[in-house]
Amino acid sequence: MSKAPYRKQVDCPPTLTDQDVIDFCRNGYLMLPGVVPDDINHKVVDYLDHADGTYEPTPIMEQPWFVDQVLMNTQAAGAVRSLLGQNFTLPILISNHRGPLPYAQSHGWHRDGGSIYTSELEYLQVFYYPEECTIEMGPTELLPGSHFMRTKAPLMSHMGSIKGAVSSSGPAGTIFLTVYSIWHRRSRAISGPKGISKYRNLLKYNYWRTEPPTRDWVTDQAIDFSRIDFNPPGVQFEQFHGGIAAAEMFAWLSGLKGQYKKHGGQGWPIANTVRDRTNQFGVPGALENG
Amino acid sequence: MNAVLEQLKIVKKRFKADKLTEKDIDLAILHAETDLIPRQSLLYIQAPGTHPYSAAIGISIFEEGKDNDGLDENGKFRYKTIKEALDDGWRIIKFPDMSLAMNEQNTYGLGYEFVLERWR
Repeated sequence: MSKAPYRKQVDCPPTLTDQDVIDFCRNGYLMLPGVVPDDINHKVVDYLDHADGTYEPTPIMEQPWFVDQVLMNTQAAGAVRSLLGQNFTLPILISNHRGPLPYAQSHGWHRDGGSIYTSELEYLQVFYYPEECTIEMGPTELLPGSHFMRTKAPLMSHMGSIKGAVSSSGPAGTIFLTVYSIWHRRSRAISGPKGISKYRNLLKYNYWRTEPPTRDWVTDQAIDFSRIDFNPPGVQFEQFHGGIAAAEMFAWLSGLKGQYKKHGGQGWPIANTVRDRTNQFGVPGALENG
Repeated sequence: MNAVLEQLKIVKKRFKADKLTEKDIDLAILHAETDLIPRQSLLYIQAPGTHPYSAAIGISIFEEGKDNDGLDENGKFRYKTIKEALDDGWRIIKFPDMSLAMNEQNTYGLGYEFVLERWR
């Protein structure tokens, strides 16, 4: 029997607020810079350089310090708990996108294999840099809002620079959570290694939901859902369509799928300049101002 | 270095050494002929709409000596609009495929894609 807690159900306090969850729905990702302590980052790099330099160092989950300080890191697991609810599962696989440094060409834009487009957030794809990853070291680029942009990876291979793309560069111990279908690519690495490892290590793993969605994160009783801008940044969407998709995802996460209906016109969430706590038409009943 | 020039230098060297062959000269001719064949360059610009002068929201260039990401030395898009590309000698060879845009409720791909070419 393995010592590793593969697929183990776990729980912890949620850390995200209503606005944080809305922003995750809009952007399709959440950055948590430098949340893993340095001593743990060093242990991870040492493990990847000396114990398992493969593409899938999943047995690192046998190390209690990895499970406790990375997978169950207070801020990262708190964000996962907020989005996936109680009793979410630990990963079943750990991948390492271990890239040589430098690396002249950026990788092509893609969505990961197995992507589907849905407002139902049943799992999260999470990334972790155990060492600092500067812009020069070829961090992953993400396209905010692209988790709602349907395509296939082979149809993206000719794409180059995209307005609004953001870099995930960050200090050692940076973790970022994504909707699985978000568009991303490795950017070119123009510098050699700056840390202990000769490589840019980037661990990637998924957590899964086990409970039906409900709005049990850190809720804000004063929030006015009729005044929230749900639109993703950028100009990839026809006016309001990105916001409509993000609002649908937020309603699903709040356990209000039955109360959400896309009405069109100036239905929720597009008329977000309403005044005096007026409820927009179509805002789910549980999110209305009293 | 230019392949023709490089081969001519070899020809001269081998001539001086009295080792020049017909094959050396044929190779120089082949390089010269190859250099005369024009090459197609491609430019993809994704735009927020179908207007042929639209702003670019995405860009990539496939041209010898150019970075595929379509950025200039300052890291900016080489062409901010399709109009700028047209003014620089590119011509549109494919207008956006509208079929996917007919699904009004969903968003497909990155905006509206124009494909342009020029020959060098």
